[in-house]
Amino acid sequence: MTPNLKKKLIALVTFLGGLYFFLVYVIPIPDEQLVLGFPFSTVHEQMIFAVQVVGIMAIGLGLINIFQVHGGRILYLRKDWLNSAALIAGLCITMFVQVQDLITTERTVQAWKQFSLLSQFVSAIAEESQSTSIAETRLLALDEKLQGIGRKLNQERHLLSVASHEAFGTPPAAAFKGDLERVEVQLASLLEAVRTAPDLQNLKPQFVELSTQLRVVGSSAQKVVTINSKGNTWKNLSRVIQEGFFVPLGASMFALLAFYIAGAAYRAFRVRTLEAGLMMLAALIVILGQIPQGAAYISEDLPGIRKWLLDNISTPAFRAISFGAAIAGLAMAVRMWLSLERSPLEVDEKSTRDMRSAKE
Amino acid sequence: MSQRRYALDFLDRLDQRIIYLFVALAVGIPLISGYSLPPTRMSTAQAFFDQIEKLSSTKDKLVLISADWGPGGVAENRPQTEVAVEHLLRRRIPFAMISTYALATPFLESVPREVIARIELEEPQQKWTYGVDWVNLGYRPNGFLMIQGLAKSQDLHKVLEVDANGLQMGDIPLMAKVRTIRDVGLFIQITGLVGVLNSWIQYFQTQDYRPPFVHGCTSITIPEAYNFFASSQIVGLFEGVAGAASYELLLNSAFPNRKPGEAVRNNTSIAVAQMLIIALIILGNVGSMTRWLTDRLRPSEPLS
Repeated sequence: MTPNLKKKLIALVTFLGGLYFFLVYVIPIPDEQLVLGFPFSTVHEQMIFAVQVVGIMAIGLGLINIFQVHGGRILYLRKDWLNSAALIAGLCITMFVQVQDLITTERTVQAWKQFSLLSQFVSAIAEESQSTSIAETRLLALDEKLQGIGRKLNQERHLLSVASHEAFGTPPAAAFKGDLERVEVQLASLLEAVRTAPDLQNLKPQFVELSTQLRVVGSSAQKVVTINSKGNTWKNLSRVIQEGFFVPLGASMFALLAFYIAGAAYRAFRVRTLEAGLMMLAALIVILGQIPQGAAYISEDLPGIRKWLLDNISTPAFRAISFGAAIAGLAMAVRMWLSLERSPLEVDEKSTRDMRSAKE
Repeated sequence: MSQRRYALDFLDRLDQRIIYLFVALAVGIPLISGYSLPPTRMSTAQAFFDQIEKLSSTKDKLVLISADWGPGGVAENRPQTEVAVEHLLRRRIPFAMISTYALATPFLESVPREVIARIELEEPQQKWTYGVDWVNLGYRPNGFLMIQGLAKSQDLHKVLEVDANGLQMGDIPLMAKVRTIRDVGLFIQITGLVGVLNSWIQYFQTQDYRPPFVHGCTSITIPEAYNFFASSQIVGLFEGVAGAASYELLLNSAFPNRKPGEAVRNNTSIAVAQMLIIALIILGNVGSMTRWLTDRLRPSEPLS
């Protein structure tokens, strides 16, 4: 694709995307109705998903970028290559552990999610089966599925082992087994009733009961797998990365601000003009009005004066600044929408041209 | 050339590390010793409290909490989230945690669980259950587009699909009656980031419905939040950790058996640090004024 065509295509997609989100925001759209021949309300959810997909692609681009920039630095042992190595190692370890954790979570979720689907299946049998024979066939399929789950659970006894050691109340594993047995009894009785009943109308309460019981089994299964997953190595490693590294390091970075602010306040906040004096006075009142010592030891009126300052001085000024910034933002948005702003691709093209001419 | 000497010369030459040491002591001592001062009562926190008190606990409406803060907001936003969650739990008002900020993910689960563990110790006869009393909807990417999607959706179950643990919306009892934005009785937004509240205010509404908004911000974003409070776009506000501490006083009065939380202690610690900053500003200015006065009063020394 030629650069010119690429540029035009990007400008077109940007314009159409901007137009869509502009229209969907400003035009009142009644549900399920066409506006200018376009079903906005129907497609909007899909549009949101599409944008999410594009966002996810950006993560991939970010990864490629990091590997290109820092990978090169490590390979050629350029300046600060150790920092780059730490970044890449941290990234790879975190990604690997998180993916393993995700796979484990998905497996545990699947272990109990099937009961929820079966519960919906029972409701669908009651609603949609036109005759008792169709309902019977479907219930037999359900029975077969439940027996399959039972066999699988017998093979994977470790799923139930840890949970059996719960100290309080009914052990979740025992509760799960009991609930599953109750479902099997209910299903057998419903099958018997379906075979003899003339129609399904009178059997609806039994269907509802079976559907509810399947949800109960799903809930018991969830407790079992949740307890079992607590001992999972990947889950524990993921927790160590998040709670042991990520959160404390992030909080520490932010906490450093307090030290810098104190240092800066001491060195730089000098009252040299009337304006600076007024600003300092306002800052003192606002701080003292907010902290306990202000009202307790200086004046009980300080919180009131602080509020007055915020309501009547700070808010109007801040609002004026916000309006100005919003108008500037709007102008910028229109320029971007109409592709009047310089494209980021132009930088790439220019740098490629520069590199080529330098080589020549 | 001889260096001119001033009476309070040491103030100008004060080592940065001494200032850092004072800050560490000012923040650390109240936290370690447990020393706390009663916080200032705030009308904004009272308004927040009244909004939650107004809600009915019939479980037909949900409170949506958007906790858009990460590790950097632990000191101020975490106590705010804790007191709001505690109030909802004590009043048995169902709520859902959500976030548009990826770094908030671990806190969406840990904050309610820790609050529940604490209040279950205080009231052993009471139990709070996941899925019945609260739910974690997790981190949702794509900022305002996601918010717009939530607001416009005719079936939130389809948009949200599953909670943070992979549980389907249909399997969560709490979400059974929650289908559209109209089922959100109150919206709580807590953040220290600039612009996030703007996005929620702009997009989390339909033509004919907008849930009441309450907000928690860090101390540096109070001026931005006041904009919206003054215009009644938000009807309750936590002004930094001081707001959360003030809220604790209200919770203590409403629930007399309640044990004090961390907000008051954090507030005392930050207040001591703020007093230190005031003292440092004054000291710095005294040093500079002494230099100015000395220069004015003493005739200039001849150049050697």
